[in-house]
Amino acid sequence: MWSRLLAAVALFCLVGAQSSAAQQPLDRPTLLRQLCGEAPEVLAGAQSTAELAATAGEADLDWMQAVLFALVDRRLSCGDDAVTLRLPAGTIVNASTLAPATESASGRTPILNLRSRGVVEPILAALNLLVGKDANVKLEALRAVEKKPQPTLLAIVERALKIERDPQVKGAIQSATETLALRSPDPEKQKIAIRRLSEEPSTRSLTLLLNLRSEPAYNANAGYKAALDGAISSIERWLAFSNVLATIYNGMSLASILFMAAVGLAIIFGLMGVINLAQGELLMIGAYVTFLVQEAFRAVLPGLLDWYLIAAIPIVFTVTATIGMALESSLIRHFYSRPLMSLLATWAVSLFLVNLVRVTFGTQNLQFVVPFYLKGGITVVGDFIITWNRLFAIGFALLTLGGTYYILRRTTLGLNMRAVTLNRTMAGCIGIKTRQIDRLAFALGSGLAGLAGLALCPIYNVNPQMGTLFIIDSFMIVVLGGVGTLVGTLVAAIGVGQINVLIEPAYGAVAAKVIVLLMIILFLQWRPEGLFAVKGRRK
Amino acid sequence: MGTPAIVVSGLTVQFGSFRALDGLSLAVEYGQIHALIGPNGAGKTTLLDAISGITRSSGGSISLNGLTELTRCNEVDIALSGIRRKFQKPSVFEALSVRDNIALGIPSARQAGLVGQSAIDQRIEATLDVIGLAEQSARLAGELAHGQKQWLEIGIVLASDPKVLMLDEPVAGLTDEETERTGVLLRKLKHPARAIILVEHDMDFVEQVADRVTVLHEGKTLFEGSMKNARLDPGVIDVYLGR
Repeated sequence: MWSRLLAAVALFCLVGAQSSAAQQPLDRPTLLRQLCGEAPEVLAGAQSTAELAATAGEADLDWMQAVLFALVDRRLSCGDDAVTLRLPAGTIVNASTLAPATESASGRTPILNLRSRGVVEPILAALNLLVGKDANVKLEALRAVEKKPQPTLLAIVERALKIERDPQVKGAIQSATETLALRSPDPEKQKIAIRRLSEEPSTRSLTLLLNLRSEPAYNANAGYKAALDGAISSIERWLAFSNVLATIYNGMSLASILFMAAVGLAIIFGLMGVINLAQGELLMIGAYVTFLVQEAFRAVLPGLLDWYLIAAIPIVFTVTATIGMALESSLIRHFYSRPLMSLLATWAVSLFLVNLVRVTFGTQNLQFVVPFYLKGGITVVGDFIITWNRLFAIGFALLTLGGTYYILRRTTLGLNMRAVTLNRTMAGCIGIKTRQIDRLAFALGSGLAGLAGLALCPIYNVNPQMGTLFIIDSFMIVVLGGVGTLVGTLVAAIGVGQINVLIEPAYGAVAAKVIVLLMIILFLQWRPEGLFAVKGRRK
Repeated sequence: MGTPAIVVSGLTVQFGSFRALDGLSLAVEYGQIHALIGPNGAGKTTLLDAISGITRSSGGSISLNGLTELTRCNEVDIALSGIRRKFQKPSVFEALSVRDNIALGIPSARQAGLVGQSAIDQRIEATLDVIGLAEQSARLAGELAHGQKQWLEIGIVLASDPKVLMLDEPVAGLTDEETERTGVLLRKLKHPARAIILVEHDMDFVEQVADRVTVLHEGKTLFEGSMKNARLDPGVIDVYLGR
C-alpha cells in the first residue's frame, strides 16, 4: 500500500521539475506520527527531519517544509485514520501525499510548547533557506537560524551555501555556517569557525565567541581554549580600533553641522559685530524649508521624491538668504552702533520665529524621507560603518567650506567683505559700499545657516526648538576660532565636535556641554583672541 | 586758474559745545599741493573728516568742482565721486596682501575708467611701481614696515586716480630717508587734474612740497599763502611755530 502511495507522491512531485529517484525514500508516515505525538516525539521528529534535509531530494524538501510550516502555524490536523494539513491557501490536503483530502473527524491540532517551538522554528527556517526562491525570504530565514544556532542545521546550511548564487545571500549564509560551526561537536570545524570569525571582527562575532566560554569544552580542551582566547582578544583589539574610528567619524559629522552653523555666524559677527541670536532659527527654517520641498515633491513629483534633498539646496539657500537680508534691512541695520540693542532685537526675532513655526507646524519632530542614497553605509572595519547620511553632512560641509573660501578669497565681493571686516571706515572712504556689503554678508551668513539646517535633516531631530541647541555651540566656535577667520572656525568646529562626541558616552550630553564650555573659558583666558586671530587686527 | 576742486565755505563742525571748525572757508585748486598746518586741535583732521563724509557738519557747505554738495552725501558716494583720503593712523587692510589692498582702491572699474580685468591689473601694477612696493605685492600688508604701510595707503587711495587726494600726516614716524622718498612721490602725484590736500606737522617737508599753505587755529583760518610767508607771519609764529 505504501509503495502505491509513494508512487502517487512521486507523480505529484514531478511538477517540482526534478526527480527524487536517486534519493533514499523518506518515511513520511513515521515522521508525521512523531510530529503528531507528545513533545519529546515532536522534537525527535523535527531533529530527524533536519538530519534528512541535508541529503533529501527536492520533492522531499518541499514536503518537509510544508509539514513543518503547517506544524508551526497550527494547520496540521492529526486524526486517528489520517493526518491532514490545511495549505495557506485554505485547501485541505493529505499530510503525507499532499493530495486533496477531507479533514478527519478525530483531527487534533498538535500545539508546540515553547521549547519545541525554539527547536522547530530554526529547522523550518533552514528548510525555507533551501526551498526559498526570494533573496529576502532566505535572509529572513538565516536570521531565524542564527537566533538559536543548532549544530544539526549546519549540514543544511552548508548545502544551501553550495547552491546559492546571489553574492549577498551567499555572504550571509557563509556567516551563518560559521555561527553554526562554532556549536559543532567537531572541534576541527569549531577551530576553523573561530579563526574565520576573528578575521571579521564585529560585536556579533565577539558575542558569539564569548558565549562559547561558558561551555564545558572551553575548560576541557586546552588547545581549544587557547584558540578561543586568542580570537577573542584579537577581535577586542580590532573593535577598540574601530570604535575609535567610529567616534572620530561621528565627531566629524557633528563638527560638519557645527561648522556650517558657525561659519555664517562668523561672517556676520566678524563683519558687523552683530551678535545674531536668530542664527539658530535661520538654521531651523532651513530644515523646515527642506521639509516643505519634500512635501512639494511628494505632491507633485512622487517619482523623484528621493531627490528632494538635492533640489532643496538652492531653494533653502535662497529662502534663508532672503529672510536674512530682510532682517538686516528692516531691523538690524538700525542697531549697528548699539550692540546690546542688536542682541536683544535678534533675540526677539528668534523668539518670534520659533513661535511662528510652532504655531504653523506644531512642536513635534518632522518626518523626513531618507533618500535611497543616504540609507545604510559600508562597514570598514569591525563596528565602524561609514553611514551615508553622516557622510552627506561631511561632504556637504566640505563643499560649503570650499564655496565660502572661494567667495571670500577669490571674488570681489569677498575681498570687499574682508576689507570691511578689517577697517570699516577706510573701506567706506575708498568707495566700498559698506551698506550693500553688510546686506550681502548677512544674506550669505543666513543662507549658510539654512544649508546647515538642510544638512542635518537626515541625522538630527527637526523641531522648532532645534535652533537653540546649535546657537550656543556656534558662538563658542566663533569665539574659540577667532573672529573672522575661516580656518579658525573650521578647526574650532572640529575640536568642539570631537570633544563633545568623546565625552558624551562617558558622562552624558549635558556634562559634555559643560566640560566643553569650561575648556573654552580656560582657553580664552590664555588666548583671548581665539585660535587664529587675524594678523594685525589687534592694535 | 579754473574752478577750484574743493570750496569750503562757512563750515562749522560741532562736537557737543566744542566747535572743532568754526565758520571755516577755504578753496583748494587743481594741480596744487595744498597743506593744512596748525597746532593740535586746530581742526585739520576734522576738516578732512568733514570733506570725506565721516563727520557731519552742523553748518556751511563743501562743494566739489563748484557743483556737488558734499555735506549731504555719505562717505561712499563721496569716495566714488573721486575724493580719496589717507588716514593719520596707517589704515591699510593688514590681513590682505599688498596687491589686494591696491585692488580694493578700485572699487568700481567703470568709475575709474578701466575696462576689463587686464586694464585693472595694469593699473594695479602701475600703482605698485609708483609707491615702490612692486616686489612686496604678495606679502600681507600687516607685515610691512611702518614707512611701507604709509606708502601702501597712498597707493590704495591713488589706485582709482582720484581728483582730490587728502593725505593726513603721510611722513609721521618716517625716517629722514623715507621722508625724502615720500616727498619725491608726492611731487610725482601732482597733476593738473588733481588737487592734493596735505596735513603735516613736519614744516620742512611742507616747505619742500606744498604750493600753498593754510594755517588753522581753533577751527578758523589764521593764515593763507606760501610756506615761506607763513614762517614770517607773527600770528603763525605766536600760536604754532614758536619764536
